[in-house]
Amino acid sequence: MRLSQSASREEVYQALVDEVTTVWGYEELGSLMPTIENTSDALWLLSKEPLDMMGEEPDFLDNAVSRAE
Amino acid sequence: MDLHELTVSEAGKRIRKREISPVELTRALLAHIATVDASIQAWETVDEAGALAAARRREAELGSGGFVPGLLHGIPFGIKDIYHTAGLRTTAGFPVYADFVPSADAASVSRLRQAGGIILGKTVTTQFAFIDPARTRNPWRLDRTPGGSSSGSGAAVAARMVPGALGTQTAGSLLRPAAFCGVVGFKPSYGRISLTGVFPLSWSLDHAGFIVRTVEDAALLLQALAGLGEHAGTVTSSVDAFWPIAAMRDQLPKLILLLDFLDRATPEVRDHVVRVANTFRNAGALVEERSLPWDLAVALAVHRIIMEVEMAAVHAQTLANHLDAYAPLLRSYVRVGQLVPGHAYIKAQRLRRRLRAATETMMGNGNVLLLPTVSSVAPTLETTGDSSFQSPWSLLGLPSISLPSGRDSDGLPFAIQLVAPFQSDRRLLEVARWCEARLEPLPSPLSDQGDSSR
Repeated sequence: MRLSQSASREEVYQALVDEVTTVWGYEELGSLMPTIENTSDALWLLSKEPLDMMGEEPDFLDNAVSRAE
Repeated sequence: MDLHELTVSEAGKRIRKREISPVELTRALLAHIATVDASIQAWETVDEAGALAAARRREAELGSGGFVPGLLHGIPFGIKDIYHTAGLRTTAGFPVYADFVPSADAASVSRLRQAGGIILGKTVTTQFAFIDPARTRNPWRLDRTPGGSSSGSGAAVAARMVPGALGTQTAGSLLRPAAFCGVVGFKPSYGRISLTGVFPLSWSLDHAGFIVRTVEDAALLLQALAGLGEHAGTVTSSVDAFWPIAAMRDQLPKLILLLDFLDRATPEVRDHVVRVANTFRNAGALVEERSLPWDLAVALAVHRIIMEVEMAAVHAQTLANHLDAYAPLLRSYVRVGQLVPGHAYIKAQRLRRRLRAATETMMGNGNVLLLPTVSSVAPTLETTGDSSFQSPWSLLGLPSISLPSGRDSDGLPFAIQLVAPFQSDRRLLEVARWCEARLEPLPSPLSDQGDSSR
């Protein structure tokens, strides 16, 4: 599943619907729809947040460091 | 006062003075459970024989010369049914595990026992601590949710069936039940209490914590449970002293009232929290009104993507093997979560760092955030309520506490939430105690005053 910063909310939603249909089957679509809608909204919001290649490393790296200490 | 009305601290003091015995207290709580739990259904398993045997041992220890009792000596507790308990079944609300009996305690259960605590039984959890409602009812009104996922822990403490109970929070599973049930819920900084031996939901969001009735009890339990114990896991290595907590005579709290959450709350909750903030202001606290330094919708999206992907990683195999045993919402999240791209998860973890940095800048040195714990009073039973007021602080790993702060016109509890910087758990407890002293205590939901609103 591709997520570009220029994708519209509807495009992200449709991409996830297509993915769900392919993997879990069309018959599962109805029961999964509320989750699909909320998850695609979340993915779309994330896609709009710019991040540079450098800096702001994933948060869980800190947890790995604290465990190692 | 009936023995089942005692808080953790009160019971501890009376046991150490030999005014009451652990056996008397345990029997009183068991009798109260037998009287009230048929309608509330807070308990998955009540371990009457095990609890009484442990109480007898605690009583005998008090009688032996030179014995130094632990912080929780002789006090019974409930344990959310996702913590492993040696010899006592642990179902996680999952029918496949209905007869699963762990051979060892979770690290935090082990610490509770080492401090002298007694395991009274296992409290009802929503399935695997997610959001599909469990059978437990709210003691204030049986047609309302107690919240979730620590549903049984919240209801049992509120109904005085036990003075304290362990729970967990991944989004809002400790503070929301505490708020809906009119008791104190405490989620420490991420990693402060070990999760070794607790069924995971989302590793980087899961927190161990507890539900009690006073801030002093919260400090006492944190003192007993924080730290490495016998296990390491993800526990932070530094352990502060949390109890006894200072009275804050010389320094008044600096609170930041978060307007974003007031705007999203029901008018009744918003008006109540503004009144509470004014009460604190009139008592000398510095209360500054501010907006979040980030978009709440983005923070909730980041939390959702991280939780969904980690849930999928935890549950994908078990779901494939036991599809029909899964609750609908959990099944749905795990299925969709398996399809979220890896780069979206990593991006969410990077944005999480950004949100944390902005929050730390806003909080500065010593500021504590003030907001409603929940957007409304307890809703009806088809939901466990809205987690959007609690989950940002789970996402950021910040310590948070919910205090009961009043009741609405129907008698249902209101609650305020306080949030402190990472690892400032002690500071949070000090401020919470100051605030608690300026709030009217709630009656028991089963007392005449509470009962009139049912």
